[in-house]
Amino acid sequence: MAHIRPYLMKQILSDFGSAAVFEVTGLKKNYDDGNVQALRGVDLKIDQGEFVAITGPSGCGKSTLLQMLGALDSPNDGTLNYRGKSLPGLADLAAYRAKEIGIIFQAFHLLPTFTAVENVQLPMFESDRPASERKDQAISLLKAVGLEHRINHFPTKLSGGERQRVAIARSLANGPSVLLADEPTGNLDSENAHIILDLIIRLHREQNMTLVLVTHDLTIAARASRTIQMMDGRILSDNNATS
Amino acid sequence: MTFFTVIVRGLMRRPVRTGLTLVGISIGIAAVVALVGISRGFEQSWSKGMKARGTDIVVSNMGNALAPKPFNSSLRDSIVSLPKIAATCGLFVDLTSIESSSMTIVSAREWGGFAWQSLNLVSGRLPKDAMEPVVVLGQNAAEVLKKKLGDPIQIEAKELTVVGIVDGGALVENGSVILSLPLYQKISSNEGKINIIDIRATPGLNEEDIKKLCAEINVLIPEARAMPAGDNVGNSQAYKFISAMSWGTSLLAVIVGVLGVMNTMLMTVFERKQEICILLAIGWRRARIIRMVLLESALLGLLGGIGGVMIGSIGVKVLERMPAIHGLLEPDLSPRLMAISVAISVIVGVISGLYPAWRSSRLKPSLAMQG
Amino acid sequence: MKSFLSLITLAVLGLPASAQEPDAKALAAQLAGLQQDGSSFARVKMDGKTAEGAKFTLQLQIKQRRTAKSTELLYQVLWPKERAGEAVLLKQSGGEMSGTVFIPPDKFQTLTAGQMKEALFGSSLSYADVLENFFTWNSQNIVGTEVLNKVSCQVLESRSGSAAVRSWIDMKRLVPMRVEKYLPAGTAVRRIETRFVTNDDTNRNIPAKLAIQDLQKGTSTDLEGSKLKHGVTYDNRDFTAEGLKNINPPG
Repeated sequence: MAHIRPYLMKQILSDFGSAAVFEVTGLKKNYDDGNVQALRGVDLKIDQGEFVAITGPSGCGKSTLLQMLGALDSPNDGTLNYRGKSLPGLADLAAYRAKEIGIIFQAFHLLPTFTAVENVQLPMFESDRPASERKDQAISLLKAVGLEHRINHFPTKLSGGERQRVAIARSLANGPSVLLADEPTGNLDSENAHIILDLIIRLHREQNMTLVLVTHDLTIAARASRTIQMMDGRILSDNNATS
Repeated sequence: MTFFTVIVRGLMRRPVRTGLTLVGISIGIAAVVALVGISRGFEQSWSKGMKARGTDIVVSNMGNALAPKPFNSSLRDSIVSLPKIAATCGLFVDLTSIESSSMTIVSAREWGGFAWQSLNLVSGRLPKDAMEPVVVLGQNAAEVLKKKLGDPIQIEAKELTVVGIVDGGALVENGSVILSLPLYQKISSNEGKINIIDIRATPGLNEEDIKKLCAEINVLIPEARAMPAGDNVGNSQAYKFISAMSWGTSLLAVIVGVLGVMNTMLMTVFERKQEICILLAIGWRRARIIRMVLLESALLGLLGGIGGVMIGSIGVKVLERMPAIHGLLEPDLSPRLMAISVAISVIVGVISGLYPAWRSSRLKPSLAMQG
Repeated sequence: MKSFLSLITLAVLGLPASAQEPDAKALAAQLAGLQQDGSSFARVKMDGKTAEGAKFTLQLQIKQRRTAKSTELLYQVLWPKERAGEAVLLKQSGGEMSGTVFIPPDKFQTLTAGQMKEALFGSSLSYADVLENFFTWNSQNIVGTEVLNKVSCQVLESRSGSAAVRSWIDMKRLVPMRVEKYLPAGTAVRRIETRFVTNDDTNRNIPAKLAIQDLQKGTSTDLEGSKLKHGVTYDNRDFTAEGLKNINPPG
């Protein structure tokens, strides 16, 4: 897996320079014609290699913030920069989603008609790599998450923990520099939750990836280098407010 | 895994539904193959009959009636004088019921005319002279009329003898009772009358020249119409009707196919809404999603088309062998028709996928995080 | 003004009642005229089934001369060989019907008025059926409309004395799609259905296939025409005992 890194870092640096990974000011997001204000002015800066946990009660806006960072949705107001460039203003958001970030969902979201190794290959279709290379890459990613013996299994034949490991491998498919995780252990028993969290943190450390993890579990948040607490669409506290 | 694997997996997600849709398209395309194949086969066998007789131009007066109207055989003489005409042959072609059988083609040919040359004797012989009271039968006619060499055959009030069975090289020829023109004119009291003139043009004329020659003939004899051989049947009311019917029915079948595929693809898109959102969230471009849906429906069309061509061809073959139809059908199941049918089916698939593809591309990637 | 209004009212109310009678008459006259089409020659295949279920096929030729004043018909059997030459000459002039049957080689039989109801060559048609033109009868009425095989038809009732015939006329093509003949008691004796309509040599619509049922005897006959030629020339001898023997078609 290590062989992806130099290539990617080079590309990232040439594309986006060495600015902060995310720089957010006055970010607002409304739903339902403004009746629901999910984000009410969020200011935030995240640097390369940080592990940031975003916590808060249900409906506080933490998942919405993650969606904005992942360019899955666009904000109504405020600025959102990725490495110095406006994220909503990017011409090719699909390329950003495919290559710059990896997303891990609470409910794994594997496609049921594809095997583990095929699921991992799905994001690689946008990368122009030949089929054989895609497959080799997917197998090595599955090995890295400890699933080399399950590569040809369909999701229904995998346990919850195994599915999430496949999802993690998929998020790493194109060698992203940022990992966005939305309650990644929310659907797992405590033992599996522990394994998955360790895996994500290991990957973050080994590859100096920026990790933004949304959770309502304070014990998980406690393992982050920085914890942001949200309430009613605003940041309530940030233990790294200096940055 | 290639992108094609993704397409196939999409269709295999609901195998029963995909299967039923395929059956639907297949039946539609089978209808196209069968109906168009039969009607074109009819036209082609007619034109083949003309070609078999070595005919470039046919002069007749094909109205709404079953057989062409008779005219004076002297009309032929005025045509002979035209340049670029190598040979002419006067015929009296009648559609009449013979003994206990239904309508049969009776083809009376000018004695010594070139229309006799293309007949290959399977058994027996040809008439010895213009007035010998004998006929030769096309192979299918012999089968339908249940006649063999030496059998008597009654045409109008006259009993004639079957002396030959021939292969005329085309369905129309093989379904005919063939005899000499003067004999038939006498039997049917049509002395001096013919209703078809077959014309052989001088060699080396192209399609355009033939058409020009037809126009010249039409000016010369307003009583009848000259047409390039093969166009002849295409201009008859009955054929036009059959052709329109077969295309109309086919169009209906195709529309039903479009709706079937569209329904399946819409259902697929609705059902896979979240999956599509996940694909968008992990970086797929909208164009790729559109391509995926369109290729899935095109593949449905392709498979349905291939299935339809197979069902249609088998159906026509079965139909051909049915006793009531045997010998009357010579369907045109050319590779061209099959390719066109499959192409229609693929186009149907792509058209049906357009709306579902557009719908799927409008989905928001953020929906992936819900549920 | 008042009288003018009542005049209009009368005219409007009176229209349907007064219009129906001439309409039916006009239609019948038109149909009768189509039958009285001069000299013609026809070829017909007759497939019959007797009450016992036995089947037979005859090839016939018909020489006919129909005018408003008289009708002359000569039916001749061409095939099968054993019946070839059998012929029936039927004539009607001024309401009088007469007929002669010829069986080769030389047996002639004159038909009496009572024998006109007998079967033509053993079919479900009687001699009178092919001879009479009920469209010329005095009483003609349109008694309704009915859709037969997706064809909208006017039902024309023709009466003469106690005889009654109803015909279902396809008004677009002016072809009877069904004819039913009734006994004075009102029971149907004959039903003739048109199965196929085509164009003849004068581009007129004519029934080319007929299915006939004798509802009393339980027999059925199908007629399939393969040729109809108008404007042929006959001489008077063709419709005499001598003509009965002449099997040649007209020129």
